[in-house]
Amino acid sequence: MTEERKSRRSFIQTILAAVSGLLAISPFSEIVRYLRSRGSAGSIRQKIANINDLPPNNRLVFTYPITGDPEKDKDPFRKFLLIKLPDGTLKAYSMVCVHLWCLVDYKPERLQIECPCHGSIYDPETGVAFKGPAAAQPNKTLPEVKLEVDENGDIYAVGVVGVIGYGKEAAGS
Amino acid sequence: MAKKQQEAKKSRIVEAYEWTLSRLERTIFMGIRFFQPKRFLNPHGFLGMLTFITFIILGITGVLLMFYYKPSLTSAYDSVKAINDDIEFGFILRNIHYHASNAMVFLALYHMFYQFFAGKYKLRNEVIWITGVLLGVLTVIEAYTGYDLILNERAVLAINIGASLTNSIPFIGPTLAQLLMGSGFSDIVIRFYVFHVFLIPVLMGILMLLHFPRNLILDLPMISVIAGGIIVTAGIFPVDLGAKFTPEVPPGITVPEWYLTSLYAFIRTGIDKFVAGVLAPTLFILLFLAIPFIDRKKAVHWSERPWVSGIGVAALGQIIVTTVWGFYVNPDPTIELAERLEIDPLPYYGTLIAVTLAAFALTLAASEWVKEKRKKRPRETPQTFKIRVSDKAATLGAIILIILQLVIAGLALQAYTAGQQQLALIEIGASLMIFGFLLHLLRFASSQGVSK
Repeated sequence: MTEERKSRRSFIQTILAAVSGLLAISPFSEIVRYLRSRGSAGSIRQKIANINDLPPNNRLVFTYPITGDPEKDKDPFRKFLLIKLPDGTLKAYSMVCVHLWCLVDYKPERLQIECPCHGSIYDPETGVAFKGPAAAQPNKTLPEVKLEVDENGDIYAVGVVGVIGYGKEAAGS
Repeated sequence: MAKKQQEAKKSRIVEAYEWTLSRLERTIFMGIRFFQPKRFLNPHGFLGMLTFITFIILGITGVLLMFYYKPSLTSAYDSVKAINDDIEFGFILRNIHYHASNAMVFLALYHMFYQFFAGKYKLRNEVIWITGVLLGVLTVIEAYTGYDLILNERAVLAINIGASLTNSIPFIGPTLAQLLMGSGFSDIVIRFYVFHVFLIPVLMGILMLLHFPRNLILDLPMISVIAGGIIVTAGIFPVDLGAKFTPEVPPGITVPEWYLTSLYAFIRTGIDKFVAGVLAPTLFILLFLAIPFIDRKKAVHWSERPWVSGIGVAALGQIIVTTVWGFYVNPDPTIELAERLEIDPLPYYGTLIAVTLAAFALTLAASEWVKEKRKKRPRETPQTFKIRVSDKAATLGAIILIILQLVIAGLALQAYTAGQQQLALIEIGASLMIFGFLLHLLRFASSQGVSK
């Protein structure tokens, strides 16, 4: 065998080994899901309240998805606001402010969602911040909970749009 | 015959010792040569070893704290409170751990700047320099994950800023933040715990293998004095627990630990989060990593390479200005919190530019002056002080120190049982420092060869 053929052969062998190695590792790329730790939040259907529990221009706090583990259920990342706007529309948002993760709340007297820490203010109809440090960020919308109301007036949460803490616009939702 | 007699004289213990030693020569352990100096050495030369000793102190106290700490959203703070207030000796261990962490960050920085100005990154030491800078960065991250574990207001502020800075990185940021921190505080607490007690220390250990020179100065007297000093400091300035984090309650005003206030100041000037909090510090670190490749001349004395020394002085000046500025919060309670935290960018960046220019001007001028001086005067050999200590005096001194130590150790125990934990800490540290002085006295006396 000439030197040239030898080196060509070892080059091909190296390529083959590398390809095989990559193929062996590739199924582990799904470890991303493990690290993200989203659980099944996107698919769980959970009853929150009945439509008659909540008068207009009011809000209630709910935990979603409920796990039964007090440690997990206490996590701010599982706390949401169910808001009934004065016109009767239902909206539900994550309580975690997209600025620095304080818990926001709905203020009926001012018809807006406010963060107590640095004064970010959100529009309750859209969840978009229009004032304060959250409004200055590229991601400025509170993640929203998809709602369903059945014939008995029971309200169900059926999934979250966006990434809690990082906004409705955040990638990977 | 004589040889046989000598062999017979060897006790079993000596034999076992030599047997073990000859077997250890087969291991990696004997690749490192520990050098115990016979006289007092300027500690600037072994600040790295002192940094490593604080790492060991942190390892020991940290492992013990793991016995009671609970990495969970609902009980992390309460478990630290229990360690601090209720668990026997917990206050002592927590305070040593906390102050050793500050000491380690400080010593690592001091070590780096000394090596920088002494030009030690040259002479085939480039790998040692690069691993050193990386170790410094990891030390700060390790300290950061550590104080986050308490889950007080200060910790949560730091966690939030860390998360939002990671999230601000273009393209990969949002995914990276989620991969590192999971979703929610209960994930974060466990993950930061894993980073703090396992992942980062293991990484640091690997880097240390690539950072340690083969000859290490193991100066026991100095090590004892520094370790004792850390404990005395812990006793004088015990750290408080801070307010417990409750998400519904807006936090009071907190600033990060001192090694992160400079970063905090940059973020608060209102410029883009990514530029202020990620890009700027990364460029700063990259500059230090690149120094051996920028400064390739053979000269090592700082005055022979004034521009590089100017970079060092400017960096030091910037670190000091930004660190101090980061602590400042407008005290006027009538203004909204978000506004009180704002830093006016004009005076801030103005001061930074002024400090940088002044640093270069001063260093260049000083280096000219020193160069002239060095030319005129031939290098003088450093004076050595000849203090004669007789064997008798040394022994007497040692005995006095031991008696003093006995008294202080007794007082420490007595203070501890009486519930005066701060006093106990100070006395524990003092006793360790006296041990260092005693070792130094003995080595000083024996190095003179007075007994001959």
